[in-house]
This record gives sequence, structure tokens and C-alpha cells, in this order.
Amino acid sequence: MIQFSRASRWYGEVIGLNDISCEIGPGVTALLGQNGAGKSTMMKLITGQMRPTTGEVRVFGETPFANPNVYARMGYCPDVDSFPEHLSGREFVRRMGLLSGVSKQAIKDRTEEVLTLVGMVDRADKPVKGYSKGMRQRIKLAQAMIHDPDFILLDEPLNGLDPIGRREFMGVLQQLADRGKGVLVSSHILFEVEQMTRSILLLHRGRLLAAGDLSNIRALIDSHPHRIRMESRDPRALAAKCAGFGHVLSVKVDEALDEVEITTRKPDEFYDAVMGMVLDDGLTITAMDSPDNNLESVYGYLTEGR
Amino acid sequence: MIGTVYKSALRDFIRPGRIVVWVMISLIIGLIAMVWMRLSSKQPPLVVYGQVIEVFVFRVLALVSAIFSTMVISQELDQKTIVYLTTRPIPRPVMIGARMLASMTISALIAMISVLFAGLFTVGPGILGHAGFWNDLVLMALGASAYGALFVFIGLLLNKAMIYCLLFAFGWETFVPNMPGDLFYVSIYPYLKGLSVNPEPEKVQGFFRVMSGSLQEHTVGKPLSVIILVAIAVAFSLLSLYWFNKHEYVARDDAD
Repeated sequence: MIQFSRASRWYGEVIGLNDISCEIGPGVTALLGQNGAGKSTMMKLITGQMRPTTGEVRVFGETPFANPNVYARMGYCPDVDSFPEHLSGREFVRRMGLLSGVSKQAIKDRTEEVLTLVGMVDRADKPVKGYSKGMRQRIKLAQAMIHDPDFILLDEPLNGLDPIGRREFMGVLQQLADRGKGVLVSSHILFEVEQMTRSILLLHRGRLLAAGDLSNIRALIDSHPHRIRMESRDPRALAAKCAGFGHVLSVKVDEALDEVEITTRKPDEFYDAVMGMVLDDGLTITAMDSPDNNLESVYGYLTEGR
Repeated sequence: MIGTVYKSALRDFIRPGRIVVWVMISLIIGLIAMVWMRLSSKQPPLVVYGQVIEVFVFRVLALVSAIFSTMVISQELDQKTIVYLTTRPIPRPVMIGARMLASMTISALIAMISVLFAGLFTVGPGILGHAGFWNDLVLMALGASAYGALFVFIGLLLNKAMIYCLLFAFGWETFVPNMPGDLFYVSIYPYLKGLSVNPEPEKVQGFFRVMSGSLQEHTVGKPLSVIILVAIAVAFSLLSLYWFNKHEYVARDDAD
């Protein structure tokens, strides 16, 4: 559906996207990267708001810049939180539908259909200016889907959504993918992306660091010594238990903070063992997180060999 | 497709709050005309009407054009809502052309309401029988097209276009027609004035002389005025269609 061939985009002397080549097909694909990685630039190139400085971008076999044929088959949910604030959500979606070629006869039913899909059908009559962030995100998604496009791009769509909203939103994306639509979602949160798809494009400072199945990234994370931090009422007992695992490389105890930090080469095995420590050994773990289980670490592995 | 964009833009531009404000401004023009009428009791009502059109209504025309023209694209850029227009399956020339037409329609209608109030408050209902009144209505449409096309193009070129358009409407259009030499040819006001058929006052002085561009004895013939106004409207409209189709328009912050 979408092809990048050595595409770069410069903003004056600053490079936004650097020599990207990749293909994006049907199903859900995640565009993963930190703020400033080039995700929005990539979205703007695909949606034809901008042209690549060098190289080529093709969508449905055509160059997307100002191309109505492409827009007829594409829906875009932008990252900007801007609307014609005086309009109601329903009226905004309806107008976007008419501008997207939905007929006057079909527009009412279609508007209700997409508002139902995003969970806004009962709340869409108030002006957008009174909406919460989550409601605004849902309306943005509704306007992107109003003309039943083949491919939908969502730029940071989960920002501002509460956990229930996120789950519902992910459900909608899955429904779209199940109907054979292509979905490209950008995010800077690895955990979020893992719940949506296995197919990723990983961007860092304008470069495509990795593309393909998320398990490759996960394997990369897991192949490096992995720090896991736990809080416990009895950190010494917890540390002693952890030291007994063969895959644990080091154990540090901070009694002042009731904290234990371990490093392991097999994080999955350790996570499996945590259950046993709590249920069988009666140890108390009140909090647990992994500083290495994030994008920052992945970038470190990929770019600096850490 | 043009009709859909045109109607959508009209609905977007015409909001009850905005219309009330503009009708109030038109009403104030009418009241000014009435006071002027009282103060210059020696002048025939049609002459006062003509002066009000030249001094105030042409300014309202430029002002309303500046405001509604910048809503076509410039305001969408500033409010970051441009993305909802540029990612629709509508050719960009059609999108901007229809929106430009909608802004010109509203500008012309608001200026026409000012003309009507100016006429009613000076001459009374009899203004409807004055040929100059109908000529002025046509002038408002022509002026709205010329100003509108120019201001839309400015909005495509410059950030914060409203400031430049207002400077043009009130600064350039006031002072350039009063300058000696041929510089007055590069403003729009003298061509509008050149097409006015209202009776002229015997002598205009002070503030009104400046505002009516009468410091110099410039006159532009009717055929030339029509040609230039139409040429400005057509040329800047076509330039805008071309420019919008060829250049990138993303929200201002993103572009920075």
C-alpha cells in the first residue's frame, strides 16, 4: 500500500527523515520512535502534506502530494489537537464526510455509524470546545474513518486517553485490521505498541533503525542484561531468593528504599519466577519495573551497542 | 464538488455572532450617514450618500474582505485545522477556489448591506430609484472580488496575513491614492472611485479629503477601472489556485 524509496526530508539544515526505504501493507503497523524521531514527518509525507526532499514516497502506486485519488482511499487522524471549536462533533464529522465524497443521502447514516464505532454517538452534539482530550481523539478518529478508507493513519492517537479509552481504541483498530484495512499508528510508547501489533517500524533521529516483527525488538531487549527493580517489605529475603537463580547476574539491595535491583540475561524466566516467589515463598513485592524495558534502551542497543 | 466546498465554507464563515457584528457595523455606517446629513444640510442627500460610500463603505469593503479572505487558508493554518482541508479527496484548486468564492460572496453581501443602510439613512427609500445605488452594489461585488483575490494570495504567501491585509486596506489604500505622480495606479481604491456615478460634492476638505483620496486630482476612466479590477480579481485568483496546488501547507508551528 505504501512504499518509501530512499526518501529524505530536510527542514532547512535540519533533517527530519533520513534515507528511508520500507513498505507498509495491510493490517496494523506501528511507527515507533521518541519525540522528534521523525514519526510526524513520515506521516505528513504519506498523507501528501509534504514532499520528500529526495527519494520517493508512493501510496497506492501514486505520489500522494495533493493527490485526491490517494485521499479518497486514505483517512488521517492528525496529532494536532485542533478543531473548528464552534462545531459539534457530529457536525464536524458530517462536514468532513461531505468533503470526503460521502453522498448527502448516505452522510447521516455513515456519521452515526462511525460515531457509534468510536463510542461518541450519544455525546457528539455538544460543541467540540467542551470536549475532553479523549473525546477529541475519538472525533478525530471518526472523521478519519467517515469515508471508509482502505488505509488509516493515526498520529499518536492514544495521547490523552484513559485506560478504558485506550482499550476501546485498540479494539477499533483491530476491527479495522480484521476488515482488511491498513492501519499505521505512531507512538513513542513501546508497551502501548506491543498491545496493538507485532509489525513495527522503529525510527530514531530520522533514521529507520528496524522494521518487521516486534518480537525481534523484544528479543534484542531480552538478549541484553536486563535490570529489574522491585520494592519489598523484606528486601534482604527477596535478594537472597533472587541470588539463587542461575540467570541472575547481580543483586543490589537498597535497604533505605526497601528496594532490590537485579540484572538477568533471561528476563522472561525471571518474570515467571516472580509469581512463585510471591505465592510459594510468601515474599511481598509491592512494586516492580524495568528501566531497560523501554525504547530508550532499544535505541541504546541498536545505535551504541550497549 | 465545488458546490459542496462552497456551501461548507459559507456555513463556516457565516456564524450568527459574526453576522450580528457586521450588521451592527453597517448600521453604524448608516447612523454616521444620518449625522453627516444633518451636519451638511446644504448638500443634497445624494451627494452625502456618495461621500459616505467613498469615505466609509469602501473602507468597510476592504476591511471585510481582509477578514474573510484570511479565513480561506491563512486562519486555517494559524488554527492548525488546515490538515482537515488538505487531506480531503478534493483537488486543491477546487478547494481554495470554492472557499475564495464563498469569502468574496460574504464580503460583497456585507458591503452591500452597508450601501443599503447608507442610502436609506441619507436619501430614504427613494435611494432604490437612484441608478448610482445599483451601480454601487455592483461595485461592491467587483471590489470584493479584487480585494478578496489579493488578500487570499497574501495569506498564501505570508504568516499573520491579517496584519498585512489590514495595513493594505487602511494604510496603503488611504495614502497611496493621495500621493503625487502615478503611484495611485498600484492601489485598488482609485478604480472603485473611478466607477462611482454618484454626484460629486463641490468641495471636500480636511479629513474627508484625505479619506476620499482627493488630495491630488487623479482620475481613472471607467473602462480602465473595470479592466484593472477584473484583471486583479482574475490574476490573483489564478495565482492563488496555482500557488496552493504547488506548495506545502502544514500548520504554522509544524512548518517552523
